[in-house]
Amino acid sequence: MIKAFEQWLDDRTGYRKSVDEALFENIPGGSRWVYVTGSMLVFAFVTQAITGIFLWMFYSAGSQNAWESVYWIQNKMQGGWFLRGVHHYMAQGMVILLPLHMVQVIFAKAYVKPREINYWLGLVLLQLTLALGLTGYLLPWDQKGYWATKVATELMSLPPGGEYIQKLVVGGGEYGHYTLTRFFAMHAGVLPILLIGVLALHVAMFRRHGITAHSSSDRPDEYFWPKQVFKDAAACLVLLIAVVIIVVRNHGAELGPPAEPTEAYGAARPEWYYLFLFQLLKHSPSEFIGAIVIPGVAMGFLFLMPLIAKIQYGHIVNVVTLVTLLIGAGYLTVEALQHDSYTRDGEPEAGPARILHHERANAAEDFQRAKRTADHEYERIKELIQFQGIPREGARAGLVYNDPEIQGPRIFTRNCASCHSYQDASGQSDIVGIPGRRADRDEQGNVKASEEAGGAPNLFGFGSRMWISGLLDKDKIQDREFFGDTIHKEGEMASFVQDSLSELDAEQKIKLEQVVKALSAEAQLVSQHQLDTDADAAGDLAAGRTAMSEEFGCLDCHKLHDEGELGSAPDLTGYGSAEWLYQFIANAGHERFYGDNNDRMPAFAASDDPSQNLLSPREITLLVRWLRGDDKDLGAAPQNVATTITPEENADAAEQPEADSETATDSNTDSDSDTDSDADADTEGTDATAEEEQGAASTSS
Amino acid sequence: MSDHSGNSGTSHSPTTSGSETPRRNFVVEGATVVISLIVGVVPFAAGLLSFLDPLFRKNQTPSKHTKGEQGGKTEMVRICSLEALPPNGPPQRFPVITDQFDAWNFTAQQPIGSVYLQRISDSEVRVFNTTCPHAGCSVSCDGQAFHCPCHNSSFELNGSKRVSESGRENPSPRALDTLEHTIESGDVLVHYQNFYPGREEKKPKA
Repeated sequence: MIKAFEQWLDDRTGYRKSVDEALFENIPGGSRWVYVTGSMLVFAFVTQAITGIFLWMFYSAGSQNAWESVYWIQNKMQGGWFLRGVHHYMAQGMVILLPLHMVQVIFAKAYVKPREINYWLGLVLLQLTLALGLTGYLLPWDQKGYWATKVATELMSLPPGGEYIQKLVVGGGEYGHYTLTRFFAMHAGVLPILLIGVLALHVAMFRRHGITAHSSSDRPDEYFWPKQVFKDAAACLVLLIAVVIIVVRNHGAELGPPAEPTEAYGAARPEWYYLFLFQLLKHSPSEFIGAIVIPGVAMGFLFLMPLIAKIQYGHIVNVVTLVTLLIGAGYLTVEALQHDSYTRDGEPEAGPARILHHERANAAEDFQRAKRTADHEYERIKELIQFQGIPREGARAGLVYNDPEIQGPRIFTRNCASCHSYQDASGQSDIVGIPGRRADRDEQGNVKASEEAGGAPNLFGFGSRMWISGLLDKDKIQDREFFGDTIHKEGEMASFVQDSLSELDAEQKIKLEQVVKALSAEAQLVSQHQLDTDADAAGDLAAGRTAMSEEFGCLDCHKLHDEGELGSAPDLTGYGSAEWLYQFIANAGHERFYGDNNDRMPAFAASDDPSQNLLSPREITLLVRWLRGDDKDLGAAPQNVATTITPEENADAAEQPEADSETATDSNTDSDSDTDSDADADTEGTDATAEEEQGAASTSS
Repeated sequence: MSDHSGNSGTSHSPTTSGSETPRRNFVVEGATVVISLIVGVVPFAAGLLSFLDPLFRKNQTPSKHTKGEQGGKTEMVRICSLEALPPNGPPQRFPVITDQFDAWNFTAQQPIGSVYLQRISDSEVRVFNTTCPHAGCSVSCDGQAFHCPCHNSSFELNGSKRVSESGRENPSPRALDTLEHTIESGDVLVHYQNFYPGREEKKPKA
């Protein structure tokens, strides 16, 4: 029955001849394990085609959809992480196999007459595969892929006429929708079709010429089937298992936070197999030489190898050069990895070596911090998506741009970190991506003495009980954590704390604790909501307020609600609250705050004209919300706590600091505005920026 | 195939007797077939698993938008106030505004479909899905009847299949799809659903 069908089929198709030709190709000297690389590459490519077409069904090229669709594949699609992981790591398998295949061809002298053309086809396949890797790296549109690919396309403009090539590749002057549509068409269409065509020629020509090896008496010839096929299949299985293990261990391929053209990304690196080119560029006298000339010469040499082999010792020259090139590339790769993991340990002797040591350590630190920050941001974006979904304008515009937990540290780093620190008790600030202060070094690489820049308060936990009790601690108030290098270090507050709060009896200590509770409650921190409520119920807050005026005389200088006067010391009404912080940042030198005693705290938004201000209402709001931790736990803010500043308030604040401070003397106004913002917090949460932007716009109009 | 191989010296290829040797290695051949199947199937299976995702996908409303709502299955959507419908007026078309899931995008309060409402008495309203039950086009209404622009289905204002005066066949397998609804404190609330077209029974799409 089967025989009859086979005969029927063969009569019509002649399939037996093709199968016989494929399976019963003669292998001089018999099957060998070293022959498996070609089949493995074909297998890897087929895997890429299959997984790639499936990925295609879920991927969307476009700058508001690319990252989002890949995020969905990675996190929400059933088995999506595995599919993407196999595609990602099998690509790397191809890149590892390519040089192995090539080395085997060169060592077996299978690139010389009459196989030159097939060798050249192989080099074309190498280029196509690398181009597939490069184009694929961009498609997720995450920070890593974006910046790495940007460097590659920027370098394309170096050769004469390169500007036009670059513009065509990028689809315009800047990265955008067309970059993705073009890269995707290249990656999923043009390059694979070319690769299949060239591969067909490569295999056909290989069949024509056969295997290069010689038969010998101790190794009889064999057919391709079954032993070589078995070896090939087994090798493919090993490759597949290796890929699957890596995919499962890493839970698929990495995905960073979405691309942000406006944010520097300190961990921009190409995929590891391009690191040698990346590193080469660092060593080169010019970009043109490092990115174009040297790689071009090396590739040109590879193309010329069959011709060089014709001259005497030519083959040896080829082998030596190839090995040198591979060792060089390997060395550069390792060096690049080492530079990124360089540590500050083992400081060398003072002098240039020490300076270099610290420069390298700084660079590695920056790289690692950027990576950590990216991981942190990605986790945060995941929370945001869980909380509110991905809006149509995309994760960057719709989530990242409006999130205080992501934007706060950035705004802080740009505007505040030159004076203020932000470190928890263990001295860690890195988790949110704010660089710590680095010691200045002299030309010998030694730390310059007595040059402590900045020295404004550490704002970690500002307004919390921990922070306020530190401020009221005689041993801490002059620390860098608090008054640091400011004039307030020698000011009245510092001497008050050191004189009047230094020797308290037991009763006074209890009262001081109540003061801490009462003052901290003014901030209405989300994280302290329960503590504040409990303290209020226990009468601690009222007792603390009384102690402030009667026991400790705080209100001799400060104002708190209806008691005390403005003008000599910062207003304690709503101290650390969203509104207070906003106004303080807008203009710390205002009468309500430090007035004439302000020490170098810039007024970030004191002008009526928003274009004159250092920070926009949106930026200040994000900064304030982050400092207060309003959005740390999404959806956790209790309904009756005011956490948001409404855009109208922001605009007013930026516009009319005078008017605002007048009303601020009336505590009723404050509580009113709190209720307003409360309502806003409920309906808008963290995505209030559309309105905030409107607020800003109306301010400017 | 091996006769051009220049210096590769395949002067003595294994003769055809090679395939006839009794040393056929069934273990190797069997293992080869099995391994080849495995390496071929795994990438395909990985893709297939994701491909089938839409069959198993359940949309999950982001936590921010679930507050105060019971995660009930029959969510009633407010369409309009009863006042907006003149008693015994013609059917009016209204968009259905509710949360929209579109793959990775979630958008709260979006138009996701439309309904015809007709007030037939003080407290009674007819509610139809605007989708033609024949093949899924969108029907229009001229005040006398509903007409489908695609294959000439038409329906009476009460939703029943219309018999054309010309005797032309009405291809719809069933009447216009009515939707569950209630009137609460002056508002018309509808449980919006789509149904599979082209069959006699009215089966909701999950």
